[in-house]
This record gives sequence, C-alpha cells and structure tokens, in this order.
Amino acid sequence: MSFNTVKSNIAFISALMLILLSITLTFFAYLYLQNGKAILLKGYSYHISNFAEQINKDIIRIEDNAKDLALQGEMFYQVDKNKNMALFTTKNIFNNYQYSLGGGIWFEPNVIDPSKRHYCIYVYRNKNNEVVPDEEFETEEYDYLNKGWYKEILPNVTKQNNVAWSLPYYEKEGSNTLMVTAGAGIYAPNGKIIGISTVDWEISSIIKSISDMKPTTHSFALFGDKEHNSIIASSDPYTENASLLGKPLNTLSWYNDNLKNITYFTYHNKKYIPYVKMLDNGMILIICIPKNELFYNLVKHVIALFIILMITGLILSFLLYTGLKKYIDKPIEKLTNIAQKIGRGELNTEIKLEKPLEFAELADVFNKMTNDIKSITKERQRIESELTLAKAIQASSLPNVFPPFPDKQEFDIFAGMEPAKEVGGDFYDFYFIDDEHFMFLIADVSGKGVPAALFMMTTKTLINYIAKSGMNPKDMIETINKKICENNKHGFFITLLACIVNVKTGQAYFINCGHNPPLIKQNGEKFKYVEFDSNIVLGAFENAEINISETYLKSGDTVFIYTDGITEAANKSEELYGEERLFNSINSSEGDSVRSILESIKTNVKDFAQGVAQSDDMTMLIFKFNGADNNKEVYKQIASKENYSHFSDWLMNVCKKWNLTDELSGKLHLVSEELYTNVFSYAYPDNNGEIEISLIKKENILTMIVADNGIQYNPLEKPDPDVTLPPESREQGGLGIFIVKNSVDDINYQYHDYKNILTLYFNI
Amino acid sequence: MEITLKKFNEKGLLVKATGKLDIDSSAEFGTKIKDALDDIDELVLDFGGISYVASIGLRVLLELYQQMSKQGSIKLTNVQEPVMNVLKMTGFTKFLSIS
Repeated sequence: MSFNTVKSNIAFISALMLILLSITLTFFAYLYLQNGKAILLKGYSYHISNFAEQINKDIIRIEDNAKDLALQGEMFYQVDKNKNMALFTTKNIFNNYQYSLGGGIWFEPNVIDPSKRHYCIYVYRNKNNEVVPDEEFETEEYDYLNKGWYKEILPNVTKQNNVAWSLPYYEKEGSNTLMVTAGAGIYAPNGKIIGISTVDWEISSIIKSISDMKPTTHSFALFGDKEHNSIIASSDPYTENASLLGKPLNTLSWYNDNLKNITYFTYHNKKYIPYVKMLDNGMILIICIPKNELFYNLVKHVIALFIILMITGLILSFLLYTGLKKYIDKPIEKLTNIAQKIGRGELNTEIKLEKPLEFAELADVFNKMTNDIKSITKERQRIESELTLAKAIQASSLPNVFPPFPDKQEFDIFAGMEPAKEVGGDFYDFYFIDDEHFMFLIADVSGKGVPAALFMMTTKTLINYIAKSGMNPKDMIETINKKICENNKHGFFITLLACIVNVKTGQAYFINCGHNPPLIKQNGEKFKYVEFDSNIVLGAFENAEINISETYLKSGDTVFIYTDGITEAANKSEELYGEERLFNSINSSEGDSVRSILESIKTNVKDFAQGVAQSDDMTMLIFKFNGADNNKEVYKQIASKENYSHFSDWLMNVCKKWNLTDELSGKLHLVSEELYTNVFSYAYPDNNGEIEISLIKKENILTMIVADNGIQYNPLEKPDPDVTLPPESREQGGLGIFIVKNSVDDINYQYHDYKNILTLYFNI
Repeated sequence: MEITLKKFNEKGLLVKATGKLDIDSSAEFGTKIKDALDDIDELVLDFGGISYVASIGLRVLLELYQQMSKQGSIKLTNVQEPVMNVLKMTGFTKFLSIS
C-alpha cells in the first residue's frame, strides 16, 4: 500500500492509533499488575503476621497463666497449705484465662506432705465450659513425675527465664487431644525449686485454623517447634502428614533455616512464596502460597481489563476508520466519480452532497463549475456553428459553378478549394475584365482564422473591382498592392499568382507575387514548373514595382496553379507531398478534361495523406486554352423594325463566312426574321429591348440561340394554325412560329435568368 | 426591293419583284400593288426574283388574293423553291394559282 491516497492515510492513522493505544494499555496493565502484586504481597504478609500475632498473644496469656499459678503455688507452700483455698484460687485464675484448657500446680515428691510422693492441685475446663477440679492425678498409677512434659519443663525453668514449654503430645488419659504444656517454676524461699505450675494449651484447634487458613486453593502450612526442631503439623500435599509429628523440620525437603530470606522456592515444579513467622515460645509458622495462584485473580483481572480495553480500542479505531472514510474518503470518491463523468462530457450530472460541510461546499463549487463549463460549451458550440457558417459563406463566395461560361469555347476552366478545419485565407477567382481579356488568379492570405478570412474577402473584392477598371496589367497589380497596403493595419500579406489571357489571341500576362510557380503545359509537351519574374508579396511595400511576364498560349496549352496547401500536405510519417509528386501526378493524367485532372490530383494528395488532417487550405485552379473561337458568332442589339436590316446584313455575312448553302442560309433568314419580328412586336410592349442571337457551328450541327429579356412567353405552346382552311376563314397570326417550327430540325424553349431562350438546331 | 409594274391586255397587271418579302419590304410591296389594282381583273406576280417570303409577306399575299377574288384572278409565276416550300407548308398552294 502506498500512502499517496487519503484512504491509505486514514487506514494508517487508524492503525497507528490502535498501536499507540495498545502500547499505552500494555504499559498501564504492566504497572497495574506490578502494583497489584505488591499490594497483594503486603496484604498476605499483614494477614499472616496478624494471625501469628494472635497465636503469640495466646502464648503470652498461657505463660502469664503459668506464672500466676506458680505464684499461687509459692503462696500455698509458704502460708497455710490449705488445699481448698488453693483450689478455689486456682479456679478463679483459670476463669481469667479463657484459652487455657486446664492446668495446675505440681510439687516435687514429699515437699508439702512428706508422706505423699505426689501432691498436685489440678483443674480443667469441662464441656460446659466450667472449671472443675480433678484429683485423679495424685496417684501412683498416673505418676506425673515421670510424664514427658514434667521432665521436659522442670529442668528448663530458671529464676531468670521462669517459663518452659513441653513438646507437643497426645493426652492419652483425658481428651486425647494434641497439646503442649507451658510451665513455670515454684520456688521455696531459700531459692530451691519445689515444683512447677502447668497450663495445657490445646493446639489441635490452632493447627486446624492454620490448615483452614488457605489463602489460595493449593497453599499449605507448616507449624513446628524450632527450639526442639520438630514438626507439630503440616498440610504439605505431597507428604503423609500424620506421621510427621515430632520429626525434624527438614524431613520436609523444601524446608531450610534460611526460608525467611528467600522470595520463593520451587517444589514439585511449582513456585511457592513462603511466609515465615517465629512465635515467642520458639515455635515457627510457615505458610507457602503457589506464586501463580497468589496472583491468579490479579492476573485474570488485569487480563480481562486489558482485553476489554483492547476491544474498546479496536472498536474506537474501527469507528475512527469508518468515520474518516465516510466523511473524507467517500465524499472524495463521489466527487472523483462525478468529475470523471463531467470529463466524459456528461454535463447534466449534479452532485448532491449535504455533509460534511467542507465537501458540500466543494460539491457546490463543482456544480458551479459544471454549469460554467456547460455555458462555455454552449458558447463554444455557437461560435463553432458560426465559424462553420463563415466557412460556408467563404466557400460560396468563390465561383463554384462549372463550366462557368457554357457559351465560351475558347477555354475550359476548373477550380476547387478544400478548406482546412479552420477558416483560412486561400482563394481563387476568375472573370472577364473586358470582352476579350479573361483573368484568373489564386492567392493565399498569411495567417488563418476569422481575421485572415475577412482580409481575404476584402482583398478578393478589391482585386475584382480594380481588375475591371480598364488598367494595363502592371498598373492594375501595382494599384491593388497600394490599396491593400493602405488597408493593411495588421501586417497581413498575400501571395498572388494571376494570369490575364486575351481569349481571341492567346496573349497572356503572368504576375507572380511571392507565390508557388505554376505548372504549364505548352506545345503538347509535359507540364513543367515555369518561373516567371517574381515580385514581393502584396501588402508589404506600398510602392513596390511589379514585373509582368508575357507569353502566348496556343490551343491546348494548360496552366495549373495551386497554393502550398497541396505541396505541404503531410502524411503520418510527416513527409510532405512536395512538388515532385505533384509534377508526376499531373503528368500522369494527360488528355483528361480539366475537371478530371484536378480531381485526380486531389485524390492523389488524399491517398498520400492517409487520413492525416489537413493543416492548410488546399486550393487549385486549372485553365486550358482552346484557341480563339471561330465557330461562334453573337449578335446583340436593340430589337426594332429599323434595326432589322442591320441584323439581316450580319446574318448574311456569317452565312458567307461559314460557306453555308443557300438553302440553309435562306432558312436561317426566314426563321430569324420571324423570331426577330416577334421580339420587337410582342416581347417589349412598352419600350424597345435587346435581342441576342448566337450562331454556333459545331461539326454538322448549326445552333441558333435567340434570347430576349421581354415578358415570359413560350411560342411553342401556341397551337398550330389550320393550314387546310380556305383563306376566308383564316385567322390572323400564328403563321410565323408555324413556319419556324417547320423549318428547323429541332427546337426548344426555356426561361432562365429572366430570359426567353429559344434554341434551334439545323443539320448542315 | 425592286418592284416593276407593267400593264398588259388593258386590264392585266404584271408585277416583277426582286428581293425578299420580309418586314422591310412587304408593306411597300403590298401598297404599291394595291394602288395599281383599280380596274385590274388579272394580276400576275412574277416571283422569279423573290428569294424568300416571310409570314408578313404571306399576309400581303393573302390580302392581294382576297381583293383579286372580288375583281378577277391572281397568279404566281416563276416561284423559287424556298418560297414554294413556304407556300406549301402554309397551305397557300391550295388556293393560290401557281404556274
């Protein structure tokens, strides 16, 4: 994943947050655990110390009890030896010591009564918790003097440390309970020991409460006598505890004297923490707690807490992730999709986004932008359609009806322009500047677009206007240049190639102002590039002198002129069409009509370009000179009765010139007279108008065209008169056109361009 | 157009004309003859010199025929081929006496 996208950054932030949260949580959990452990350890330590303290208190009470009894024994010995009194006092003492099971005062043999080897005062606590005397112990059978406890205590008491403890033992005679006995020495005034007092302390209950004191399930305890190095009780789960009483402490393998100073020991693959308490009477209490159990609840608690917090963290991170995604990534995705749609031209797409506000604002900007694009596009479409229209207007301003002069036999002409996508500055034009002189030209205005097109239109009109003003070619072009310079404030210039031909004689003037040289075919040879005197482009210098080249065209000579859009047409490999290809193309179309020569060059260029769009207008014009036309004569005059003989003479001359037979000549006279009469009699009712009569001789057909600008009338539609009728019944009129119809080989009528045109055909 | 009028047999008139019976001359041709037709009962038109007749000329011929059919006869002589063609075409040969 790269971090270039918002989505990935959101994921990264969320993950980072999760990691930081985890680290913090782990850290706190660790601290919590450590702290919890310390508190727990202290708590157990306190608890166990308390317990040990309780036992110590009992021990002190029992020792005090023993000391009180010893004092009682001394008083008994020194004062009155009143046994009842002593019993009473002893009972009272015992009532003060609730925890003592029983006890008494025991004398050495024959000290109180020389006759009595055994003398004792004994009380115990019965089942009803009443202290009662028991006198069964002053017997030979019992013989307390030989009891373990008596023998263990008596030698160990001194004046300084007046209390001693027996080993634990089972009281066989009485309740068969486990007990230890504390005792204090009874001394005679001379300092000689005369007996001991004893207090029995039942430790079964202590052991039970020690065993019950299980801080955890697998904890165990050891209660022993350190002074006598013997075990009192143990709840070690791995040993047989019943047989351990009285055995040395280190019978338990885990025990050693240094336990107090170690934090834990390992026993049966488990770690145990020992709590060691020394009691005042030399007894030792050890509680061992398995380490894992000691902290089990704590750890469980911490883990649970950790898991809960981790889940919370995860949820928080996920919420952060989805939240950020919803409020940042989704809107971005939506905006991106819409932007792509807009890019594809679906401009009616509207973004609806209300939250979050920042993106809603952005969406508004988007919508506004889309609307702007829409209106800009609309405006652009409008401009484009106007440009298309402009291009069409420009193209239609060029003469584009071919043949342009169907009645002119002297030459054939064809031209065409393939505009590039933009409106451009190419144009061609041709017209008669007087009766005999025909001018054709091709030009290229520098630059493209609307300004060039407008400049082109102006220039085209200007050239047309000045060309027809009757100047000689040199003056004409120099004037055109001057006029262009006058109006040229934007630095346009024009290349021009013009030719003025006298169609009667073939005399031709070529003027080249910075344009491509023409290809000219002369004397039946191939087309060749002909370099005429070159002049500076038009529009550059107001007073430029223009050189004119003069030549003669003979019948069949052909001139091809073009703009550089042809030779600079490029193909996919950026090759240019070039002059050589043009040269080869035009020369391979020998003998074709002007139209087909031009079409084949156009096809050749297009094949070469392989569909690469034109960068410039492609304009071509071809002119073929057929020689002066000697087979056509035209008469044009006002038609009137007076002028008829003038026409009649003209017709006679033509007939003579063309050596027409008398018969045909007569027919022509007859027919033309009827039509001439009709024109001046009927075509112009209010005044006199012109009649134009043309005669064209071509092979075996003679064509007569009679045209007038009078009221529209088709004489061929008039019904024929009935020539079978006798003269009396005949109507006036209708005979003339009847004669005409019956004299020609073919006849037709058309009304065109406000002219009545009758075309008559005669076989020669 | 040249027109010569010559009387014969007291009431006969021989007209000789050279040229065309067209817009220029037809009217003159008609007027001249009509002026000389009083008391004439035999009109002979020598068309040997007439190269063609247009419809306007035909109209003059028709007028002359109508007048002469009241006072005598009319006859065309030496009619050239092109003129004859027109006369035939227009049915004039059916009533005009041509020799």
